[in-house]
Amino acid sequence: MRYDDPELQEALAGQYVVGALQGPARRRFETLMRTRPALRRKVESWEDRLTPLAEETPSRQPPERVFRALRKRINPQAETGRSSFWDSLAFWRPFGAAAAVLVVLVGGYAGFILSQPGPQQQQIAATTPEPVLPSYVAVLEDAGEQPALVVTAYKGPWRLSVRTLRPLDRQNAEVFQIWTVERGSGTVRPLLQLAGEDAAARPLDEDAWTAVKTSESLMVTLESSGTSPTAPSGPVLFSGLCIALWDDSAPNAG
Amino acid sequence: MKPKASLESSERLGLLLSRCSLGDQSAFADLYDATSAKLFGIAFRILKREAWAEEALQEAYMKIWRYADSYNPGRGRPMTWMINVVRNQSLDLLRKADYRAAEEEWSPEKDQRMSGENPAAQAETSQEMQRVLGCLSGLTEEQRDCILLSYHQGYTPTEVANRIGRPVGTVKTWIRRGLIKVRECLDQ
Repeated sequence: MRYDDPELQEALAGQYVVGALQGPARRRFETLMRTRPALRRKVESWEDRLTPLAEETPSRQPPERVFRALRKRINPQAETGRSSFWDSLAFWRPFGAAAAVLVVLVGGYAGFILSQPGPQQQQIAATTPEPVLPSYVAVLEDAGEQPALVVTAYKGPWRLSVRTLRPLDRQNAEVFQIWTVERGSGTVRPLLQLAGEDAAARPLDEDAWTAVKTSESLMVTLESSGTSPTAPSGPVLFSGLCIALWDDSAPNAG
Repeated sequence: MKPKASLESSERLGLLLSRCSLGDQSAFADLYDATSAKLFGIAFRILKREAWAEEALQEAYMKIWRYADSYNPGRGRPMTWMINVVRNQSLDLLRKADYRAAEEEWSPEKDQRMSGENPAAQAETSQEMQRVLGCLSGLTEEQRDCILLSYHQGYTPTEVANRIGRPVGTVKTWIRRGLIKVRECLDQ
């Protein structure tokens, strides 16, 4: 596979650390790095090699307001607002992805139960009397690692559920396009478009289910509404690993 | 061999990071005091705007606080880890905003410390820095300038190409070949 070539990995890692990977390539590389320890180690080696350059950058005293803001953020008692469900998720992150997945799982399950069924969902409900736990889940985060959407995929029959976790900026003529990024090859395929709705559910055909099943991650770009793009035309806004939960036949299950 | 002061500093920063991973807010304050001026300087150099550098610094320290337990002492010094957290945060911000400050024009020629041609400044730099500069001096001028413009200023190859009036493909090749030479030199 392309990204298994050590020389290519070495070259990309160096370019990433220098800052010379741009646009979707940089996002794609970061997504790959999360699941490939060898790639991560090459990046760390490049960071070791080049960081002495940065260490000689002249120091500059930041204003006090920066630390005041930080203190407020790390000390929950200093917070004036209520902490949200997703703040809690952020809190649990240091304890591992498993905890986050469990939280998402429960949230996704409750969301599925509570969501208003549209015509297509009513058809699903008619053929599926019992709601089932999702087979795959992906929490898509922005560049600041703040969760923005949760995507869950169910089987029996195959279907997809998407929920936004906060208001997402877009123009009227734009839609959020969700893509699958195939494990190994990095091939990107369109999965679902989301316009202004906070939640959506769609049946999946076999090709789309296979795309989810073989994906390493999901990502979101902004695209013009009324189009069916086959490749992202803009930067990746949100991305996250696609985690297999209950589908025993999935290569990445367990 | 690293100077003793540097080792002690790394040990102290490593200890503070360990305490941060346990939720020790006073350790976080100490870590901030010890490192924020350096990290802010790095963010400012890339972003060139005080407000942007503040935003990048704040987000970088939030990551340091949240992911302090993921720092692995076996894979590098604490300062290396933190510098790269703030660099990546700054680069992300720069890419997201798609904005470049027009003022404070910078060129490798103006920054003598980075060109490796200022002996007085070099004498004050660390052994590691001198080693990297030595390896950079073995590159062609174009390769070195492209790498430094990307590393210090956060320019993409397209932006470097626009600045120096060369095709982006040529710039990418210079960077790629320059990095191969730097790796060979540093890993000797």
